[in-house]
Amino acid sequence: MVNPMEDLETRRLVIDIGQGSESALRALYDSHSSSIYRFALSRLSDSAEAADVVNDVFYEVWRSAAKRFRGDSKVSTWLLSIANHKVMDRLRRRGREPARVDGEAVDTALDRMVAENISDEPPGESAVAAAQDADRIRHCLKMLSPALRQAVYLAFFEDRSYGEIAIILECPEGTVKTRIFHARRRLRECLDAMGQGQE
Amino acid sequence: MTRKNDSHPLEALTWLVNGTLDEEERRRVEAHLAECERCRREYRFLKALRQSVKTHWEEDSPGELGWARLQRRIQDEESSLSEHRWRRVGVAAAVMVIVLQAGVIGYLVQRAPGETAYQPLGSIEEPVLQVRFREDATEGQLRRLLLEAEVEVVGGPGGLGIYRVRPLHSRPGALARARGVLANSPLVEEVQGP
Repeated sequence: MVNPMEDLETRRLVIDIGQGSESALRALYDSHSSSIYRFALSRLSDSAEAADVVNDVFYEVWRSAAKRFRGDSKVSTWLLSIANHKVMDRLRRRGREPARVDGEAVDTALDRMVAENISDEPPGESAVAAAQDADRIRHCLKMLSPALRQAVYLAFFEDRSYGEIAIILECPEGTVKTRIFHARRRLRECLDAMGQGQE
Repeated sequence: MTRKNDSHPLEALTWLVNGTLDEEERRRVEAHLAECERCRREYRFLKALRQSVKTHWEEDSPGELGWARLQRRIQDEESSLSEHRWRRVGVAAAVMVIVLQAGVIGYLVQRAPGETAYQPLGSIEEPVLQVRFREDATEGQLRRLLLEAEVEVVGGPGGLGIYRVRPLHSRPGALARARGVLANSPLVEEVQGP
């Protein structure tokens, strides 16, 4: 979570960037480029494209966005929402409709599950143990669809609330919760299987 | 099929683990955890997951190279804009000098020998040509071209750098001749009109 004082300082940087301060842009770049890069990479799975997204985000901040920042969200949330737009643009250029991802398809399945009262089984102890293993975690994260992996990144790496994730991804809060539900379930199944030596 | 148990706040556990639940919800969920082994197991799993994600998520940011690339992009854009602005200013200045030295702020219309009428810019009804000159054209070059084409500037530049010119004479074919001279000139990027 962002320290409120840190965010005040970061807002000051955005104001200074809007007034043409390149040193402020550098400071913002240093503090947030990694976050934007990881976010983009979690969805695009291409390091060069993720680097391009970082470049595009900060270029837009420099050219115009800094002057348009209204301060109604954290600076980091605002930057990630710009990054999300850039990611979506790239997905469209790839010819891949952003809406047609596993997360959305499974939402329908979830609705069916809820209607049929199927419970979410608790994780086995082997899954808990496997969750602490770096190789297994990396393997199971790669098995997720990009949309679910992106949700996991925002929830567990960035420690964003579901409200903030909904702002960043421009989707309903319910969709965020559903994606996390499915990501959690798939990770658990994958780690459980690995913990039992099945993968 | 197993019956779903509505009393397990499984959905909230993710947000408890990452510290974003509000105070009231956090207390409710923690109270539940104190009495529910099933949810405690889920909580342990999510805590381990979060810890691993934070520790092992591969990160490789663009770093210093990315910053250098951003700087170049900003500098290239600013150089391009600056050059474009100065070129447009140069052409506009050259045309203004020609117009002022010709002694007109409006334009001179010859209806018949010895008969003239002045009309302000912007209210021209005679056919005119719309011309965009090259950005690197000099005043001397433009002056010679306008003389050769027997036209004078009567308006512009607009937002796209387009000037309006009309023939000095109302002789038949003057407009077509002027258009031909301008269209064939290397100083002209574009000419449109009747």
